Amino acid sequence: MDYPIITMIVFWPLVGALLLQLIPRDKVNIIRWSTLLITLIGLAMGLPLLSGFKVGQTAMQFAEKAPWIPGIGISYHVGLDGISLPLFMLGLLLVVVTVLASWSIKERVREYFSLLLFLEVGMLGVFAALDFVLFYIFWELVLIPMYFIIGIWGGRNRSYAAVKFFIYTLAGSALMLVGILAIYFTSGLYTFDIVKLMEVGYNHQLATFVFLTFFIGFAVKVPMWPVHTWLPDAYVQAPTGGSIIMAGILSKMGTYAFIRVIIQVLPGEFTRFAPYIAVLAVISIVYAALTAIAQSDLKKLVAYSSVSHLGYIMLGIAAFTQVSLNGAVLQMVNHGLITGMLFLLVGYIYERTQTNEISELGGLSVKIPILGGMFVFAALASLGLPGLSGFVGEILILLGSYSTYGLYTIIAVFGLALTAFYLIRANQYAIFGVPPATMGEFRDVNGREFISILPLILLIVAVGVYPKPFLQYIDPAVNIVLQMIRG
Amino acid sequence: MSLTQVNWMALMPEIIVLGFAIIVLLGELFMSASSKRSLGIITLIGLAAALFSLTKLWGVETTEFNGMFSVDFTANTLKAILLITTALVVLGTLKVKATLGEGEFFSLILFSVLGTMFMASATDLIMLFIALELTVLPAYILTASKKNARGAEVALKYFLLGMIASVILLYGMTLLFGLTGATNFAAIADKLGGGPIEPTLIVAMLMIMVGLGFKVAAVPFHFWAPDVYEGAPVPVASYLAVGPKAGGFAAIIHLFPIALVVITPAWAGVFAILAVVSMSLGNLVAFAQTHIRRLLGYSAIAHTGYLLVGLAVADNYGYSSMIFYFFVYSLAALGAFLVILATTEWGIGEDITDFAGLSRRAPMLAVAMAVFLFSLVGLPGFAGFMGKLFLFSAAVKSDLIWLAVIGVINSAISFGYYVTVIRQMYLVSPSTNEVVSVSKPLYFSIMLILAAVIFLGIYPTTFLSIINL
Repeated sequence: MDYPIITMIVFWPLVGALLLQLIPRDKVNIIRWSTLLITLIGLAMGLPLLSGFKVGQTAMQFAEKAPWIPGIGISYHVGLDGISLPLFMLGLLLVVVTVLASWSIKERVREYFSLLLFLEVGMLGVFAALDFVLFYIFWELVLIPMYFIIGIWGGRNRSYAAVKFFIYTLAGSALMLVGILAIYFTSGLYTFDIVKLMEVGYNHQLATFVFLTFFIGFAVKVPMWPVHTWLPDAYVQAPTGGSIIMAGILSKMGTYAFIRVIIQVLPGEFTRFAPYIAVLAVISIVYAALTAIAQSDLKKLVAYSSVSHLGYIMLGIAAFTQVSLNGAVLQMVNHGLITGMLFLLVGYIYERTQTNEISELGGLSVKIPILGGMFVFAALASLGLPGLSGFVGEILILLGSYSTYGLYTIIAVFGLALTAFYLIRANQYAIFGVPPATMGEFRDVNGREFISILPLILLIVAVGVYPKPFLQYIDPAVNIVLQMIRG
Repeated sequence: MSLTQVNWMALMPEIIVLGFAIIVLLGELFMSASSKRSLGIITLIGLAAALFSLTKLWGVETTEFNGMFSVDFTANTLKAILLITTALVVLGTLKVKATLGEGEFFSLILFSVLGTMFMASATDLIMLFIALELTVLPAYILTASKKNARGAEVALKYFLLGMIASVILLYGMTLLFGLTGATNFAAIADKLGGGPIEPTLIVAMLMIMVGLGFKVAAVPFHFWAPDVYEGAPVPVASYLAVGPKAGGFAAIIHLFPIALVVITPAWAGVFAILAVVSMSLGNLVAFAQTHIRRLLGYSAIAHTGYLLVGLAVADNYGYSSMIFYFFVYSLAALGAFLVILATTEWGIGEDITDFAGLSRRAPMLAVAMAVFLFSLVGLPGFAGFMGKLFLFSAAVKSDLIWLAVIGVINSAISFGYYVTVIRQMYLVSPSTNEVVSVSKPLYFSIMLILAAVIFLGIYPTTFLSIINL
């Protein structure tokens, strides 16, 4: 590329957010359509990345590097490889979906969409950043818009959920800053450059401390058991758009950072602590699945289901084989698509029924057959029906993990059974069954809603039926990671 | 030494401030009531002129008056910060109803600024003490200018505690003089070097720390700060929140590393303890506050704690980082005070709940306030983050990782109380939808600070090269 493509894509939403301020705040429709246009342009700007990406190349691609604060060696360094590119693209896509899903936002529309665009800058930046300080800045930048999105447009308990989300994640990530500084001063390189640090690996005696600072920050973001308790509040209280972003993309920031920072920069500590990470991952899988079984609220059920599925990704990362890592990265994308879709549908259903209580739902397959059918589809994808994307990711993770952690993998397979149990039961009561007598009549899916769901369905089927084009981006990058660590 | 041997150019900024302080005071006496409005403008011109003459001294290292008065990097940068922040206060208060006559108000500010500038340059115990008194005496009067019971109580408290601190400081100084027979910092260091370390020296060090710790509101000498921040008139509190501290920190950076270099581990250790106690206590007590200015008062104590990290590090990188942090902190704290000034001028109360729905009544003020508070937390994208990045990097560099850890944990915790203000502004509906309007100079001043806080958060490089970081 002969133009700074990543910078343009990352900061385009910022330009868009500033442009939105030119539209009078009461011209709600213009604001919505403009935001949609801005995010679509962003997605279109990302397409050359897919075509221009040279599969199998070792170095970071589309890299841009410029000194930023030279006094302390901070540079503006961005670039993508086969691990970050899929997530970067996922971010671009899910934001478009989120804009479509947020049409129902009626209050302070301009503020909402501006914050959403700010949020996009932070998310994309995290996946592209190759300088630790830059990475940290983007990482934290996500918090502010998310706080407002939950706090202003969320459900009844929004204020509490917003503060809890913020403090939890801030407390988790604040220590990361000390870890980053420790790397800078003790690695002997005096650099924040992630690529340079990846090449040598950080093995100073402070490595365990540094590992812990990062681990806590990432584990909270994913989230893993036992630091997941902010999640049910935040996911459930957030407006639909916020839930999609959090489950779809923000959680991937955590899993992605595990690979990029913990495996690649701290390989020694990763090897030492991987068994413990695997234990936490398995606990996350089972604990969250059991908790999901106990939920009577559809949105909460989806939220815990999300935690449970993230556990598989973490297991795949901790197992650290070629197959399991491929599966983990692919599953990150799948999880974004599937969980995003589930939250989207829960939101659409709520807009009609005004309730998420499974006991107050029922018969949606009769009342709103298309939306109901889509929910069944998403649930099946989530529980790993062969032919849909969730199956491919999970089977790769489980196959790949078995050689490293046989017992854990077997427990994780039982987790799949639990997943099937709560998802099928939710479908049985909420979608099928007899509609309660009090339930009114609803319009089925409208054009805008349909279009927002369609790309997710298509991708879920595509990955499920023919994952090769997707894995061809991921596999070489995974190989590079493995080679770097195993020498 | 005759007067002709003094290089008066080195004192030009001080001379200009003194001149304008006298002009403004005379203006109060002799000008007609309507033309007194221009006194604020005159003050601004004076501050700008002093700042301009200061730029001529940039990079100059010299001492005058037999080494009593030093022109150096620390003094220059802190004076510049002082002049800039004071100018922003004056700009903000141009159209604000004063509790004193305009001339009295502005000339007292200028006299206090003058004292602070001398304090920043003092490299002699006598000079330091006189400068310190010149700083605080106008501050006592300004604090008392609200003529009600609460104002009087606060001013009296401030005065009494300040006097006690001064006396302890003076006693420490006499001990130091008794040990060395010198008042000049460099001479003291010469005398102390080589000899055994007397217990009295540690006592002197601690007493001086008490006196200067009071100036910068470090725990446990902080009791005056929340009261004064809350009880003084808002314009005065805005000035006190930043201005005089510049002198305090400059004096600390001059006195301890130069005069007391032989016992560096001792005072660095005590500063580390004071840092931890100040940031932790300030942040925790801030949680209990319902009055916005008291909240900022405790937040200021916490920030003094962060700043002391730079002293605990005790090297030039630490001091430079500390100066940078002082500037970014001053901007955000001052900005918050000016927003409060704007809302109180409109008749809005000062409880945190009075800020309910401000984002609808005054969108730009609310955005500015939110940004200032985010910057105080140290969130990336705003100046406060860059400040903390350098401050904590200085700690990590000097193997004080534990101090950096406590610092970042405190920063994360502090969000919990700053957010209560943001919550009121954005998440709570206003009781009335009446739009708040702000006088133009005040609005301009707030927007200037807002721009600076965002700019320094994104691209601090130019500024950092000015302060050698």
